[in-house]
Amino acid sequence: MYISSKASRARQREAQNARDNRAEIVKALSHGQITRRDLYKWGLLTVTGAMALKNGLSPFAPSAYADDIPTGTPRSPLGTATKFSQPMPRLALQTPYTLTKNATTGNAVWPAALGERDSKRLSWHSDFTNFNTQNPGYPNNNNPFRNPLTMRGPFEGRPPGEVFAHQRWDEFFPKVGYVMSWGQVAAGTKFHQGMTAQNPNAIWTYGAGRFVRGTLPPFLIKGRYGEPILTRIYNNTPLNREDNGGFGRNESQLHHHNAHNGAESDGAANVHHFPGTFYDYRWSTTLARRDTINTQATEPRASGPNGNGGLVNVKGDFRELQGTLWAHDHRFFFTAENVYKGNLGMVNYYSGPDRGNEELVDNVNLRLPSGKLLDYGNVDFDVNLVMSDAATSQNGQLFFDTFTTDGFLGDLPLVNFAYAPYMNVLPRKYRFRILNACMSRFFQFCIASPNNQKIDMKFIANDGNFVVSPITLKTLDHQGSAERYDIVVDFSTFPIGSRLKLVNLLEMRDDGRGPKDTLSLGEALQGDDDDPVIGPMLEFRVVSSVPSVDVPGYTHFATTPDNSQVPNPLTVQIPIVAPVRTRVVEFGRSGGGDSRGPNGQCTPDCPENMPFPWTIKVNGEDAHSMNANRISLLVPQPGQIEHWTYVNGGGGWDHPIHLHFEEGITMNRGNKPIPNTELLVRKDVWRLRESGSVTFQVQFGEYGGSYVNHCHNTVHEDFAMLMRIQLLTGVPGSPQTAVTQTPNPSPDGITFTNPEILPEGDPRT
Amino acid sequence: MKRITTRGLCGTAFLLAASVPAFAQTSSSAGNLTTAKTDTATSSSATTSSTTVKRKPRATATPEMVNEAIQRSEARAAKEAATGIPQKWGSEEPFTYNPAVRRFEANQQ
Repeated sequence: MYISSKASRARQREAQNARDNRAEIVKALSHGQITRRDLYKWGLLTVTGAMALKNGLSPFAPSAYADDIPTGTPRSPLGTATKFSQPMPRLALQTPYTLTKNATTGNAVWPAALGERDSKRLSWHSDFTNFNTQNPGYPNNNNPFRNPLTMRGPFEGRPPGEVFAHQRWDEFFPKVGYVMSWGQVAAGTKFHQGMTAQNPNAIWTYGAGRFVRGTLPPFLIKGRYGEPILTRIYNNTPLNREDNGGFGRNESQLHHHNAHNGAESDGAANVHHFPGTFYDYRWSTTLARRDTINTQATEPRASGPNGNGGLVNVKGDFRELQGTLWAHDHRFFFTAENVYKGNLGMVNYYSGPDRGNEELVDNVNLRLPSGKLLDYGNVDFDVNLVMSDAATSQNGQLFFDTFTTDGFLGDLPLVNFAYAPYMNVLPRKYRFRILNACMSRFFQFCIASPNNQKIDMKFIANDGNFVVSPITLKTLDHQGSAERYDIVVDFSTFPIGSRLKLVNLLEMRDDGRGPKDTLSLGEALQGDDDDPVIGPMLEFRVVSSVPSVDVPGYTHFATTPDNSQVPNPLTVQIPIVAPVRTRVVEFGRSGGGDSRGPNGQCTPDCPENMPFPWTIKVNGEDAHSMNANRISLLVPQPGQIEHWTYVNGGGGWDHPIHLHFEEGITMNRGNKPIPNTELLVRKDVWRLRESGSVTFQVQFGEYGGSYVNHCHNTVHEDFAMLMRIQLLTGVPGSPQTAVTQTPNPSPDGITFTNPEILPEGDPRT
Repeated sequence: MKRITTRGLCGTAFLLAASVPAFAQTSSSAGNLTTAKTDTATSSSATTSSTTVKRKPRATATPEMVNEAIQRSEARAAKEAATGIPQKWGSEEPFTYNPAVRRFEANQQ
């Protein structure tokens, strides 16, 4: 899609004009000056909602200056930036606060110096609602629980009542907490020092503290089993929706992908909150199957580090330990824009086996490469890599084409939001936690040696779940949006001064549909002028010493022995058993979806005349696009083992499909080959592959409520390949053993509606 | 397509949740759903022929359903590749399912 830098000036101008025209339309739409209906009337949109193939508008329209060549999109200006000329930033490690329990109220109390209100089992929204009931006259009744910015609605975004109370609050009472704000990026933030600084509204990301500016790189939170977390997120984005730099919605729900949390803290129950408010997410660190397996917490592998060399045993199945997780916005219909704009971070969970300490010997710790200076959670040699692509307009500001419904590809290769950086490494083993944080791009990575040969990598975890035995590879599988691959790379055979590269081999289809071809290493190293994200994205420089990240001021030297290991096995296989029921879910295209109700409105609200080309079928019945008030699939009881098959609707697309809350054990891809990195491996995102399918085993438990299942090509997700799943899998006596009402957020507070249930998704009928 | 609504279900189920075991709650919920479905069926019967009976959607999937879905997917992709017309549900039509062509076996489910 990106035109070659060697293209003529006329073609460059043509592409820029087309993009400027699209940007003008986006701006006019955003400001309410025109409607999409106007665009239909003017012939600029097709009946499917796609942009018309008109020269001067669409990047796919034929160029006026070349036969059979699309107009294309202009390249992002690099300024003076060059690849591998800046060090890679490590993610911004967040420091937790200790929370205490108020014996009278049961609330979680923050350190007094912070001036934070308590965190509670029931939302403060309940207090807001109760006050209004007792003191009529809202909004002029001086409700003390109201949003201080707008003087409307509650100051906590979590819905009121028992359904959105934190499930199992006392059992998983939060021991530590984080206060973060999501808002305008700090002044001077750049992808590279040679590039233009981003305007405050070009990027909205997270910063530590209440109502503070956001920062880059994204955050990193270290969690551990046995230590529940309370994450308080303030929405510090501009109150005026139009102040968004051209794209992005100033409303958010933060999804902790794919931690085992109650629906009220999953960040995808249609519970976005507004500027001026906060939302308390309780990240429980619950180990799955705690109610049925290892219920006496006697299994030492089901544990978390205690901070003093020992372990805290927890209930549950150690085979379901999670490690590499992340968190990102999930505002329905705007997720692509908001995540791309910076609403994301990573969360590492540490456990007895996956301790983040490579030297502590206790017959539980796997001693994977990490470091030794901290009791747990060392990251000196255990590195998070947020891999993404981006594009900027000609003035250097982050750019997004809101007209695309197929997929959006950027032309800037970013690692931890830095343009193609380098990283100094010692000649030893490193663990890398690779996240594909792109909107639509798939990756396929290898590591090139100084003489341009692929080196071995040990694949140890898929989507944060250990494989049973490490798998030695020279090239990773395709990696779709939201997938996480953990690998171990041994640099010990390379002399000081060596330079290696992390190379993306995967050529994408121009329209973002999915992967096209895997290039040879030689081809990829030459780069692709049409797609600068093909080729090297990160350079590793083997050096003799590196400063510690874990203990600032400490220096690691190449001469220090590497006592880390990659043992075999890493975990124990969970068997495949006969299911209680089977389901088939198809992800494909419709002429138009049914996200709008009879009143023409979406649930939640969406842009006027937004098209919905992407839909989902359950068990071969009618296709539907996303509606938060429609339950497409219902799980009636905890602990029932189900086998689900996802099928790609066809047409040459690929879709990375994400299931919230629980991981599935990948069983097969029909009669097609399945790689060892997937076979019998637990995952939460599955690429369907072209005209492909995937079958997995899954069971639900411990919590319940409203979750979702969707394509994680977030453009497809927004337009609106997403369905609600309802889990009646809460603990006995809880509201989550029945269907829960749909919360409908507004600046004045939450109202509830009764959802419809598709009969094909409800095995009770 | 026929839909089931849960009007009144949630509140009833929630009240039950506080006082009865989980199994009983599920049963109660199902009872409400059955009632709602009957209402829907009754209202629709007034506008449709009495001989028209809509098949009850299946809440579980058979291997044949999966096999057919994959065959349809392949047919859509092939048709798009041949005609250039974008794929969507039904674009594979006319389509004939061939059970002898196996893309998915019973033991894979």
